[in-house]
Amino acid sequence: MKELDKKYILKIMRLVMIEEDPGKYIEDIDKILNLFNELDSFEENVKDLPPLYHPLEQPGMLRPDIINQCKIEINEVTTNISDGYVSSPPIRGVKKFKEP
Amino acid sequence: MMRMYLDKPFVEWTTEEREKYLMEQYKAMLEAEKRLNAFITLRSVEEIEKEFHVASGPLKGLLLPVKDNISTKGILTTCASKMLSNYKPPYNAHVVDVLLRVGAVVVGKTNMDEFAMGNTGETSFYGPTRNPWDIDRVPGGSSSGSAVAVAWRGLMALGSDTGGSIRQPAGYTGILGLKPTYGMVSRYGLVSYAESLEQIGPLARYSRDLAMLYYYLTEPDERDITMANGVERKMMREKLMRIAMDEVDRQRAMEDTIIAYPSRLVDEADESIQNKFYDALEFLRELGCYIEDVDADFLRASLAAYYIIAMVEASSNLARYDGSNYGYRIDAYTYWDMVGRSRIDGFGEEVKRRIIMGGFASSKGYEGRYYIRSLKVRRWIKNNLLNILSRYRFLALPTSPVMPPKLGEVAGPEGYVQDIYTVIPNLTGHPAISIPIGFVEGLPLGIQFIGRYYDEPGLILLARVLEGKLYDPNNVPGGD
Repeated sequence: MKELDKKYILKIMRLVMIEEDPGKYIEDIDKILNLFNELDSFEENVKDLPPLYHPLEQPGMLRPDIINQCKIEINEVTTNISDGYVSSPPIRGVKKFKEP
Repeated sequence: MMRMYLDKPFVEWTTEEREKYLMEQYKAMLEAEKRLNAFITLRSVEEIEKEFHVASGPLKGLLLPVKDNISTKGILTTCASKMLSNYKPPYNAHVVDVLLRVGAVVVGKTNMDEFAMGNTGETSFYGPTRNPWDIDRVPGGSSSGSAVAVAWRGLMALGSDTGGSIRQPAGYTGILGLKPTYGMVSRYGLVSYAESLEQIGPLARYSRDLAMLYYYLTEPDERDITMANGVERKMMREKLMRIAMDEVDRQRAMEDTIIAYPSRLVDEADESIQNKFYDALEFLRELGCYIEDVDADFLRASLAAYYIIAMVEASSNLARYDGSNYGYRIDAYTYWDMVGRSRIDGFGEEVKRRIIMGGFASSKGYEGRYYIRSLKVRRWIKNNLLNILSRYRFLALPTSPVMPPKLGEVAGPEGYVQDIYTVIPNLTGHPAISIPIGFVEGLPLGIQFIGRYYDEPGLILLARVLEGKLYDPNNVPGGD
């Protein structure tokens, strides 16, 4: 793996909130990158094709966004609820919001 | 007699047999849990009996193992992850609701690779599932527990297939496994790993049972906006019911069917697998099928494209597990510490690896080289496969290039190559089936057929034709 990629992987680990010792992942990441890079040899075949995000390319039919019992039911299995909100530790370093 | 109830498909059971064999089925599932670690949650006899007595419908008497990434109201749905080890969904998946409505009883939640990421059944937080034909070997994954429950004196089960997660364990355990056409089965209530690839699907011992279970799975659901609409569903369901009711001419069903196989790709499988594969094709030739070799080297791009797409989608889907609203949480002084520590401790190594690589492949600067290119390759593969399937009804491949590895023998990215034949229809949305074709050194193996869109009845009919000829659905591991 190139040095640039190693540094970049560290950055990605921070972004996906899995920030631990990269050492144990480097070897496997190298193997996965080798697999990913196999696509290089197919570039000529695909360069003019549009990406296919979804196998059947059907238009998505949006349904009405109706508020139902789901939120209440989810909250029933949630611990640390107070006044309908999920409580979590403070986010430090962020200025406290002041009422206008 | 322990195995009396396996002598014929469930669809032929009388009302008396359904009651008589209920506890036989339950005992078998209990054994599958104790000997093979097939279940994460097995429900109590009292719960099963209570639900059986109030159930009604064509599937009354069926004890159904359900993969642990399919939501079941009030029953733990862990995805075999520490992250969801305390999670009881407040609702049922659509498929569970449908099956309960026609009389089935959920017997328990089956072991699997964590968040369906794996092909050996070993990445589960609850320990590996064991292959009933050799307990030192893996049963395949990720629907490891569902396949093992069926292979071990079970009847049918629910799994999910993202890159072969139904077909590969079905092949390794000697049963039938079907990956539906994308959009035929509602994903409502399926815990997402890679939403553009995965489908819920059936595993079964008998082809007629597979047709019956799949018939109910394809009931439409407006809550999944990716479900395919149109006349195809209605026509397909009619054909499925005819197969389930045995209203097809089994002897002539495959006459004049043209089947393709890509010999250069098949060459990459173990020699013993190739031999069995070609024996199966020869058998189909004798039944009146035309078998032709095709050039399909474009399929070599499938594995890399699949893993990039799956990891990118996984990275996005699993961002929701932050310890805030539900699931595993490590309390910490700050929010970010809580999220970070919960995710590091809550996810297993394979899941973390895929989240990291998915984040990498879709990040600015690398997105074009990896993610976008993999989506272009996906279109290229789909176009080429459509071309082949316009000339041939099925494309045949081995289900796996290798026999089931020993436990711990293959780990991490080195095992990805086992998916080389199964990821193809997940990229393109085509249906595919794994059918057992015998044994090599006491271990079962399967052949995979990829079919045209909505031709699941054709795939199940293939199994119907081969049943009792190339494999014995009444054959169980451990004798008796």
